[in-house]
Amino acid sequence: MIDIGAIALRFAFVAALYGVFAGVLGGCYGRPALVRSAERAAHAVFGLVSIAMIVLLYALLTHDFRLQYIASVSNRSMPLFYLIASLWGGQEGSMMLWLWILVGYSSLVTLQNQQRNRELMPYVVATLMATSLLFLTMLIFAEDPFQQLARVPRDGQGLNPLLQHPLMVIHPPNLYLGFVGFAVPFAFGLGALASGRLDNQWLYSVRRWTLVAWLFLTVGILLGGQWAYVELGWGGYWAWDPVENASLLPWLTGTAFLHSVMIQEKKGMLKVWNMALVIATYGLSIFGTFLTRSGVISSVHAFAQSSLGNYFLLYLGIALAISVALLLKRLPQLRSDHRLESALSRESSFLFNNLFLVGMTFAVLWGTLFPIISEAIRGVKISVAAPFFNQVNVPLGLALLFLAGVCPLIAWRKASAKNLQRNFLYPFTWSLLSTALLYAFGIRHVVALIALTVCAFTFGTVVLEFYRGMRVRRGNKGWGYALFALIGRNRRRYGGYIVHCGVILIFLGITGSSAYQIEENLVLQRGEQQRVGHFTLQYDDLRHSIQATHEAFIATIRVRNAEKELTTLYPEKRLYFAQNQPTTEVALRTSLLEDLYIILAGFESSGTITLKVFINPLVAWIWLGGVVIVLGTLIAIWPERRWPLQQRRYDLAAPAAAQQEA
Amino acid sequence: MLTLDTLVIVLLALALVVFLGEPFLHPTVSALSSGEEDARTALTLQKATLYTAIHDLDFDFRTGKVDQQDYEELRSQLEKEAATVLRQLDQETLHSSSMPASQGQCPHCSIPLQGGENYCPSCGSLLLSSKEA
Repeated sequence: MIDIGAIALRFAFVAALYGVFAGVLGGCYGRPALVRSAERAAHAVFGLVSIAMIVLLYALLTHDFRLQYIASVSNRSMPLFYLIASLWGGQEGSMMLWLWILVGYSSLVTLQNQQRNRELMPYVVATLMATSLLFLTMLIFAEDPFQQLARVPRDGQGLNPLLQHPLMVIHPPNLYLGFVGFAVPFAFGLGALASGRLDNQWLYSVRRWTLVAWLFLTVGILLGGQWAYVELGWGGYWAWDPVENASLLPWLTGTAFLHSVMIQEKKGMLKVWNMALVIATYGLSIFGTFLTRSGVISSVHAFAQSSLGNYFLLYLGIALAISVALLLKRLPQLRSDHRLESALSRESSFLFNNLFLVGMTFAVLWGTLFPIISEAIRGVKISVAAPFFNQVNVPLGLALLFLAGVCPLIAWRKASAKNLQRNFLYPFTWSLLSTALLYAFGIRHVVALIALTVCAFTFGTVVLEFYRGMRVRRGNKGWGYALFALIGRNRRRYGGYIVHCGVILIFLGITGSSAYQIEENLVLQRGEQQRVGHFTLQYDDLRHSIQATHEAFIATIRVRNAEKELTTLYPEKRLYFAQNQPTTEVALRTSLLEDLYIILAGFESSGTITLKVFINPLVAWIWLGGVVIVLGTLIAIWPERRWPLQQRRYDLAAPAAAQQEA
Repeated sequence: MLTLDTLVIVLLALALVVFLGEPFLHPTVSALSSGEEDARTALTLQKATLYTAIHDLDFDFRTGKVDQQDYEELRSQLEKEAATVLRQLDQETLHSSSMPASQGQCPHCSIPLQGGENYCPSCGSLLLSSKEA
């Protein structure tokens, strides 16, 4: 059985290699049979990798400890849910998952384009197969999931207890669905470059793929933050950890790409920039995977030291070289069709958006790489921590949010300054009012005030946009119809506005929890109570419990405020037998207003305990914002009837016709 | 030694070869796409983009982002561009409608044609002499 899995991987390697050559040759020499064969190779690779995955999963579920990987990430006492999740708990298994998603996407893309994009597809398939080859190479020659042990142990080591959490189960698959998703736009970009079909066709083909990949990446990053918050127990959700940054980098360039494609679609400008962005996003995805897996950095995320670094770097080098070479070759054909009509236009605000996002990317990249480079060159380990990242990214982030507020007020192509001033007035007044109100309520933290003002402003413009649009669409029907019609006519725009609202919520959550966090250390005897913020915490008891996988010390803390008893919380300290590793289980009470976050820092035999208590305002809004982002993106992705498909009569000579909606 | 595993592996290898090789048994004459189709697709895309731009501009005017003067100026620009594209599309259609029969064979199944057919009598596919794509 194990042999079938191992052989399937090797056959997949052969098929992928064939797919690369067949695709490139078939495309270059115009051989349809070769191209169809290459496309079949994509399907074959998916089938073969699926077989390998099934074999691995089966070995996991039957506790087949002949396999080194199974023995290292699972044991007999794990519940089924985490047993399945341990498939991606270690290096080899998570790479298999990455690969399986990649070849799944490749097969799907090939299926979707059987009758379309025929000139691009040979190169699209070749690119995707080449990416698969990277992972297949590593899985066969470096980190073999089917490697067997000389002596079969009676039981495995089990999954790292930090990973035994529902969030941790879905966080990696989400991230991979995102990272890998960006391979598709990249493949189409290369396909456009290689085939010379440089019109906007490739952009339209990848629009939905890019959105889906971006959505999964966003959710994956937020889930990671939530897991860190709930599980790691240091009171926060983002530490500018190198691996966290690795996931953020492609997200930043991906967001820039999502916006700048609209300029290319409308004005045929920024063609080279968009190519560069899509190459960068893909490159950063691979680079991020490299950072996490190669052992170059030490982090709670990082897998053990490995030889994988060389494979990644070599592949990145080749991929970048080919991409840049193709880009340079086609440079003359990538000239802009138009120029910017006006500096005051939606296009120019999108340009600024891109500049800020790319600026943030460079800052985060520099902050992440500098310690590594410094250590490599000077042997001195410098750490670049939160202060640097916050100093650069907070102003840029706020500038971006402000831009998201100004942009809807401006028209495409050219906005009239008079109109802009008039449209600016309402949201601007509203935001000043809110600032004054907040100040009156006691908010004095300067950065928080600025952030909240910008949030209010941007929210105000979104509301105004919806209102104005609904007023136009309403005719003499109701407001409900107006909203439905408005969103239905332009899902991308209004879905995008809803996503911006989600982003506003996230900014609010970050502002609240950063500027107004309360942190206290308490030492309590049995029965004692103390105040933190407006909560009173009473320490009732400390229990000792022994479970199948771990032993635990559990404190019972009763939480009250001025009026009544609120809840009882149970912060724990656990010791997992298999790993001999202590962990903290945070006790959390969430409300819209704030999170009460309690860690059992220590305890003595006398029953005295030390608690670390955080009050984190508005954290729930971050997760809420994530939900809103998902909603907005789904609206934007939903298929829209496009102009060429509608048999609408469009009278070009009569502007008045725009008054009648068909 | 023929174990079940070995048998499965051999079958897998055979299936792979057959699956990948099958396209070579049915060679098609048609190129990946014809130059005419390319031009027509590109123009249709341009038309769609311009229509969307006009639509957006109308909406921006009605929601008060563009004043009357700018609106009229921009709209006439877009209308001119759209008219040009439509003219080019018409020329493409005219050009292609006078072509297919002279090629003499169906682009899909390569049987010889008499000329003037809308559909291939053998494989049934639509021929280019009909409406634009």
